[in-house]
Amino acid sequence: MSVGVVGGPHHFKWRSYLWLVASTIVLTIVIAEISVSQVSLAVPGRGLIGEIAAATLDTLRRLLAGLFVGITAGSLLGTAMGAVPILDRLLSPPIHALRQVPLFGWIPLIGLWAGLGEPSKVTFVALAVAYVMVLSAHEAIRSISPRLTEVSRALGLDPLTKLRVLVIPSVTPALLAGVRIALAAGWSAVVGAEILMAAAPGLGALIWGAREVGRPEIVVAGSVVVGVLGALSNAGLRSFEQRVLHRYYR
Amino acid sequence: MIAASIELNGVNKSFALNGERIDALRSIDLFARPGEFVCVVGASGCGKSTLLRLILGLDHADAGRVSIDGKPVTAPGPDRGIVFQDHRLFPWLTVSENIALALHASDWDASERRRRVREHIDLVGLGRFGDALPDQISGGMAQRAAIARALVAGPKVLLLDEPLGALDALTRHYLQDELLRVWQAERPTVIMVTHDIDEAVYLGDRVIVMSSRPGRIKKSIDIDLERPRRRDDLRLAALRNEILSLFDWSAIAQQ
Repeated sequence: MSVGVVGGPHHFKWRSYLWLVASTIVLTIVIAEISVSQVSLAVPGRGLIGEIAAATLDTLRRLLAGLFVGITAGSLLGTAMGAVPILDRLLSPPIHALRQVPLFGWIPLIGLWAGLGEPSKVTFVALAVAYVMVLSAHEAIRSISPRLTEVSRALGLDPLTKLRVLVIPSVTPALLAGVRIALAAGWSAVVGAEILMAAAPGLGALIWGAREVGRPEIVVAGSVVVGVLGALSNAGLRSFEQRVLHRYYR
Repeated sequence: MIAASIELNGVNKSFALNGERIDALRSIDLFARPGEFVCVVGASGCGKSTLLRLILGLDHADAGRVSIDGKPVTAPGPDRGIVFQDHRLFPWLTVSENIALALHASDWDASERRRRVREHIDLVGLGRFGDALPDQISGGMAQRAAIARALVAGPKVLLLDEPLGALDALTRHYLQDELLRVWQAERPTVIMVTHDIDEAVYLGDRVIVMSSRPGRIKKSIDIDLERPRRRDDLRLAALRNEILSLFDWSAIAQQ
């Protein structure tokens, strides 16, 4: 197996992400020094670190819940639409129409339906994620080659074998790409929901609250955490994706 | 392995294409003896491939009967193998894994399956390439892997849908002889669809000429020449000319 070829780009990717994180921090300090001269950002107090850590955990929990619901629901719907033409013809027009509503335009409606508590924030994240996954799963199902499908029939493959040798390898690349885009959508949705829907513990709420009380160091630190976690999760998923895809597409 | 007879009686098959009804096959009667090598030639669109799909069980006739050894065909089965014009190997499986796929429903145990896969890789001359992926080998080699996949379950019938049509001339000539060798080793009944008349008279015990729209059998010509045949045999050239004279050139010109 060509470990060298795979290893190379991997190390390069991680190095470039390390650089991204490092440069973000340096940039943050520079901006903060210029804009808030009296606050020392380089060494925030323990109270601030604790606060940010707690907020991060809240946000991550919400994000994971939204991702789980959104990826499951979106993938199922997209798969059904990809596999059953009549469902596609029925559901595609309304889904594409709804997609024209900007994501944050849903917040008032979701607020009406589900209140402003935890369920509505998770719903909002799930909605953002599900949009992406419906399209990706639909695309994934359509990327199954009709020629290979015919071969599977000619060989009389049973459903499980067909799933293993035809369906999963065919749909995985598009699905994984979808998950990565969904993750980015989920991040912006969860932070946005925390800012725009009534106060709740979380990074978005922390940043917004700090703005209200004039604590720019928390605004900056919170934003840095969001950026770094987003970049890291993307990098992690990308590296996982390459490992998995390496099996199927060399 | 015992080869099977193939029989089609009064088979009709039509399709709707852009709202227009197309008679792919009309009143087809065909009988292939066990172990016979039958070539089917005809202009494009004459329903040659449809004929194979019916025998394979991927499609069903509108009327008439398709049977193998007297038993009607209802679905694909391990008693029939097919090779398409493109190799249609799964790109993420190795050559061995692709070939082994045809054994997924067999009664053989794992070691017997491995032995059969090995044997058929050797039979088609891919000895060192069992662990290669399809895109790591040439088109000719991939097509040989597809032939091994079609044969590994020991089918009584081998269906070939222009299997050498997409290959360069040298590889094609080489694989024609390989096909003959494989056929003589395993002796399945072969139905080979081709548009190459030289190929048909060189390989076949019999050549069936089809007309198109509607697809009918125009004539069946026995190739009574001893094997091994020589490509420069003048009798082959005469048979080729006879077959060419059967085509309706004005219809072909209009296509």
